[in-house]
Amino acid sequence: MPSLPALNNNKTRSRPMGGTFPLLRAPRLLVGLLIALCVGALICALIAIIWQAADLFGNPKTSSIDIFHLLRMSAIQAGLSVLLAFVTGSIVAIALTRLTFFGKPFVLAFLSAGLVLPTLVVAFGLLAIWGRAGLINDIGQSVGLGKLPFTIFGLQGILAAHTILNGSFAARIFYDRLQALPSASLKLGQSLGLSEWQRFTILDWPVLKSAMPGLGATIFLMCFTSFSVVLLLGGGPANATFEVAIFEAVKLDFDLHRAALLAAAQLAFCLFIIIPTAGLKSNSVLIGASQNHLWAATGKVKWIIGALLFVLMLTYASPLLIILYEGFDPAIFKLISSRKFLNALATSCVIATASATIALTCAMLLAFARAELIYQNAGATSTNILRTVISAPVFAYLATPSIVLALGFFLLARFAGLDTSKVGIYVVVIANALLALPLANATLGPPVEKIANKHFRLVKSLNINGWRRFRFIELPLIRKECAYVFALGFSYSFGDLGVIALFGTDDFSTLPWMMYRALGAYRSNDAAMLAAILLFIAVFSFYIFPKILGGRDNAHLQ
Amino acid sequence: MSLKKLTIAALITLVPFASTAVANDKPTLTIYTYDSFASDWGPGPQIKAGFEATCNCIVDFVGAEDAISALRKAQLEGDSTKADIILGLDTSVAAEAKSTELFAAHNTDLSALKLPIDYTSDQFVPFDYGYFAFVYRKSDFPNAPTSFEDLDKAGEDFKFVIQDPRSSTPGLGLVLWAKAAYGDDTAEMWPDLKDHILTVTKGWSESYSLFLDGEADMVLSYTTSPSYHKIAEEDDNYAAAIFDEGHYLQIELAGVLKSSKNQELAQSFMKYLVSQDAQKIIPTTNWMFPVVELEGGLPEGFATPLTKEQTLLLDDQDVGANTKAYIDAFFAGIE
Repeated sequence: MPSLPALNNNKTRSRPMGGTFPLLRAPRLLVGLLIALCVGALICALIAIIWQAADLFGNPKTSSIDIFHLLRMSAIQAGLSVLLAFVTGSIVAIALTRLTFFGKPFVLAFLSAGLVLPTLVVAFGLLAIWGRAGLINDIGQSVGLGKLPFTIFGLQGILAAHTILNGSFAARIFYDRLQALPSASLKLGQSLGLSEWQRFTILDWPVLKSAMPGLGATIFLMCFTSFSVVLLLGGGPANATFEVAIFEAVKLDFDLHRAALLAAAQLAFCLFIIIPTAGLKSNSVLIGASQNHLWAATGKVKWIIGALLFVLMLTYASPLLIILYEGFDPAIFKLISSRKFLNALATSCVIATASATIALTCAMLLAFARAELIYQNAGATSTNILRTVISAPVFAYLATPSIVLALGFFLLARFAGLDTSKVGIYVVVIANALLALPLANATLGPPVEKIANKHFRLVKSLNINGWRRFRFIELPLIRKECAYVFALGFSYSFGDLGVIALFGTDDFSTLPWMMYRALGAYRSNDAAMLAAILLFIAVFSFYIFPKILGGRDNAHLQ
Repeated sequence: MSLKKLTIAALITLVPFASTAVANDKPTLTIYTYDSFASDWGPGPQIKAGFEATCNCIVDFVGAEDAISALRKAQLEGDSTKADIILGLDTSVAAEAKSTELFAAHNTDLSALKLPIDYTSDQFVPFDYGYFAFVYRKSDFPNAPTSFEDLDKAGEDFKFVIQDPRSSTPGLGLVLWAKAAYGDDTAEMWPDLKDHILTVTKGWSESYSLFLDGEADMVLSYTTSPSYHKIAEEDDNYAAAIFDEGHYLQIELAGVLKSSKNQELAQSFMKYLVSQDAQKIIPTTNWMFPVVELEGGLPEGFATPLTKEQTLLLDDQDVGANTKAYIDAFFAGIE
């Protein structure tokens, strides 16, 4: 059983990393660093191998890509998306902590579902509500109000889709953080008679703020590299993306040098976002037993936040609900009993389970490594380089276009002498795990560090280390978050398959793939049914995994 | 600990995937193609069954995202590629494909083929063809547009949806279509049309869905698209707008790789591909025109091929040398 004898013997240490070989005495740090470095090295290898391969398959052509234009457009769009996600997400989260109502668990399960669906599905759901032939225009015309005065195509459409995808995710994360506010603080605040505004600034805001760096970076990167949504709703080439430029380089021109350069440029730009946020410490000052205490809103405030919650939830959920509605077709029973469907479902489940397990494990180990810095630092709040090194590589996959991941993995497998037609499923598992990792990290990081902030004295004085610290202190407190992260990784991996493009074989199929195939063969009805099934599975897993894995509600240390 | 159990379960379920090799004495003919050709709804399964009935071999279709990806995949695999045949390339990438010098000469007699215009290539065998066209709902247009200029006159709210020429075959087809019809005048045509472009999607599927959902009045697709709705859905409301300028032709091609160890088998597949047996599968699975005159004629309700005069096609070499410039001009025009 591993232990950390070094900690207790260094009570007087002033700097965090004193001693000759401090890492050797902190296995948790070592493991975390190792994972981070592997993840970082892999992404570098993927891009480097494309560059290398360019010499073998060279076909350089001139290109007229305006990189700075692409960067500017993507950055503006992603920045606005983060802002909107934060504003709407925090309103929903705050309202949810102040209200109780029938069906609240269902609302919570629904909140993360948008994020994990294939983005195209959500974009089409958005169109079914707000589009020219959408529900609102239909209703408006039948009651004589006429058409919406705006079109959903353009920057507004991209932002709307991104807010639905990410705002609800932000709401879920914010809500979980607010739920972790200690009951004692809430009771004290209530008895002091804090106004709603004071409650927000004194209690809520510091908590929200602590979750923002990791969450913001994740959302920014997802929007920055959002490819199909931007093209579908962008309304023209002005909103083109890096990814299309890379498509052109790889496919039409086969100019792998340019592809590698473009990927590296995108990654380099994203590092400007990643590095500062990775170094930031989530110094949650409010710590204590988690709340079972509901400080409900009353009077006018209750009605205002209730109305806000209703409107926002309707905005988030309506594009998803219409997906369910449109997919409901008697033919669905024939579809779900077909062999092809069951095969695809089984493959999807295996991939999702494996990816979610890997993502959860890595996220936990990375969070423990960062927490270790706090234990060694005795709760001090300075940022440091080690923290950045552990946190930054996790984000790199979000900043890399899927065609580059696909190409890189393919070349790696080929140069390693592996049979590329057989390693496809492993590549999908690894890539999906790495893509889900930033989400898992943003969810799991803050609570683990909060525990460290609260318990570092106890841990030191009792010398509870290694396995025992995990089993008796950390696990009971983060079980819920772990279950949520597993559900997130599970349904997220159900969705994505960009990386398989070059590995594909006919007998390997997942549900989202089946859906795209149906779309590509005029079968829009089948595609609609499959989209509804995917959504159902996502909502169901956000409901069921916390039940199976999350433990009892009151499993919190006092 | 349920987490642990799940981990173990995941590992156990993964193991079967590690050993998918099938022992078999028959040779395997591996064909790289685009995904929708290989999929259940596409011609792949029937073509496989048809050829396997006579060849004493196993046909393995490997679907990539699109045909150019299939070619790039074979290129990246180099000599170790399992691919014997690349199927689904078309006239707009033929020159690029030829320049890879990966393809062997085919020995297939193509004199019986019936294409709208002569197409000869010593490396590629045509197996189907279609014309790019804008598809619309008849109920929306009592008088359908009959030219590119008409698109601009169809009203202020009129919207059509197209695909990005860098990532989509029809998208590239439109750029070449305009070039073939208008030459250098395309520079003046695009700015007139740009306000009617709803959006430029990555692939055909997204565009077509936007059209079916009613977000767009027209979609860039094929003259044969309405045939699907008519035959498979018994819906007669869809039609392709026939333009006076003519329509750009897409001929889909297959080629045998030099590196193939099954040259003879691959060559006999090429012969099968243009036979009556294989060609009669094409119309209602790939929704394209067959390259031979079918004995029973085209299926009832299927579109009719256009005349030679209505057919536009740029020379392969011209396309290969100038595609980039044409695409850049297109984007400059609609920006």
